[in-house]
Amino acid sequence: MSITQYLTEEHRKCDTYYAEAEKAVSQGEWEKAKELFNTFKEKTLLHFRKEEDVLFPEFEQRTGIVMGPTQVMRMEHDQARQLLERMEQALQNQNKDEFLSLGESLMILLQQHNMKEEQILYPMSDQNLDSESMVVKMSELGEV
Amino acid sequence: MTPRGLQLLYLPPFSIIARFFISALLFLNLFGLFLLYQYAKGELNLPASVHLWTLGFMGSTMLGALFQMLPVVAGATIENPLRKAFFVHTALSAGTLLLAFGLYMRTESLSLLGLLILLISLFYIVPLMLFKLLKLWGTLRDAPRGFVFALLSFLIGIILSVFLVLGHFGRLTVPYGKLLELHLSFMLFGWTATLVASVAFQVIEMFFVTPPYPKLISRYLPPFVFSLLLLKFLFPKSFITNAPIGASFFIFSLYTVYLLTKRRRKVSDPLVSLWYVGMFFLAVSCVLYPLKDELFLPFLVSFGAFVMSVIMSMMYRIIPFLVWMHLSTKGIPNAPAMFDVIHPKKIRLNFYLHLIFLASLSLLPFGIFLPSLLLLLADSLLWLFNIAGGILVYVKYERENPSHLK
Ligand code: HEM
Ligand SMILES: [Fe+2]
Ligand SMILES: [Fe+2]
Repeated sequence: MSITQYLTEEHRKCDTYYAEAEKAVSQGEWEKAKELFNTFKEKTLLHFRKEEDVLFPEFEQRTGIVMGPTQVMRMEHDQARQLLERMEQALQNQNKDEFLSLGESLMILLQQHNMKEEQILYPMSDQNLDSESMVVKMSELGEV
Repeated sequence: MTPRGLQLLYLPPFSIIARFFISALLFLNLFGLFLLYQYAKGELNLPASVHLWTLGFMGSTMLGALFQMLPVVAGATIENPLRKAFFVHTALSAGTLLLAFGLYMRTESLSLLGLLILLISLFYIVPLMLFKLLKLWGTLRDAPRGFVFALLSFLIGIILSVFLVLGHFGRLTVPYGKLLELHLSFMLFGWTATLVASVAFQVIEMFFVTPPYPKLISRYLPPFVFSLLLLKFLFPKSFITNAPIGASFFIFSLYTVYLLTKRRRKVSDPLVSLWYVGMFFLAVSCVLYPLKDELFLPFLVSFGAFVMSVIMSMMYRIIPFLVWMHLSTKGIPNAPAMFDVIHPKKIRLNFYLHLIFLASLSLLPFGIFLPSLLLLLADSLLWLFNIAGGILVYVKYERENPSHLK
């Protein structure tokens, strides 16, 4: 399996997790929402870890591009992590508007982030790295 | 390899899109006032009114959006974007005002001056954007490839308009009807509808988490429509070209509705409804397009309703997102979330007002104009206030956190 296939699949899964959490929040089912949001958050952070701990370092080493796309991707992960924290707060306070608002920002941020990865970073990785062994290494961290 | 990656760093300054969007909405309000004024005087100058809308409202929005999307969506960097945007925006606004006023007053010198300023602005930026995109053609996805066909159509539409203006004032004997047909077809379907469709290929999936468009649509609709438009040079008024142009966008509108019903985010959202409404009016105008010799005004009005609804949906999503994104990128802690920029209640109110306005359009065939005119003004004014309010949130935060300035 290529890196592109493997990680793109994970993006789609995370989208679905979010859609479910969002639905529960908008219907005011707070207990269910917490559970679903936790899944979403954990899976998203796991996906980030696979990129930051496995893919990006290898990418930087093989291509010699250090200050390029991977740096931007890390920054966007940070922005996403901040939003996730704030969303968790909103969920604690059962503040629907706040949650949905932050969620909207997170979704657009992630969608454009994912698009850049899927269109540029992952294909470049498949070209320059050993895809099979990268996928194996990333799978060892867990399943999204 | 490096430069392509580095372009990801590039987020165009917020003031560019803010400037274009605000003046688009000012033009929309001016358009409403102008129609009301003409109504009071019992007249309607079609070309003057049409171009306040198409150049002032639509043109501003679409060029502003392209400044934003070229780097982000296509990885095509425009150097010194602030200076270029400032110039293009100023000239576009001034040129549009002069052209519309000139056409209304039937003053040749004003119209020609307006035309000249418009040509300088557009012949500068449109080829530049085309050049940037074509240089990257091999790496471009379907959406930015669609931009290329939209910009090419725009360019052809502008060239045709020069002959129209000269013909309009009797400077040149031209086949006026044929040119007019070509001009408005290139502008409405080649430029406007193709750009909207290409943007949709990119953002429908992204904003609403839907399945992607099939390749057959996203890759082939823009060049297919563009080829049909070129064919119109040979058969300007023929059903052979008009019917398939209408049919292409009709299918696009149906497919977009289908995708939206498949969206994974099921939360009720007026911005999704605006797309449904917009696609409905696009479908109507596609049916009317081959019949426009008899039904010209209904065709124009439904096309306008399509564009206005879709632009409303996109502005209300893009402005709050960009305000958050820019402030957050500047490292401002707890940057205002989207609802703090423009609250959904305000958006919902504008949405309902917009629906009432669109419903009132059904009175037009009975010769009842005033309700639509007043509702159009209310709709546009609320829209302007909401977007301006959102932009002010950005200005306020930026003032309060000068140390975070890049
Ligand atoms: C450089 C910019 C433009 C110039 C100088 C221009 C000029 C003209 C002129 C002279 C006419 C004929 C008016 C008449 O005798 O009835 C016309 C018609 C028309 N134009 Fe444009 N145009 C421009 C841009 C656009 C754009 C961007 C659009 C749409 C996106 C557009 C849409 C139309 C339509 C729908 C008509 C037919 C309605 C009418 O006759 O008033 N034009 N244009
Ligand atoms: Fe990532
Ligand atoms: Fe990713």
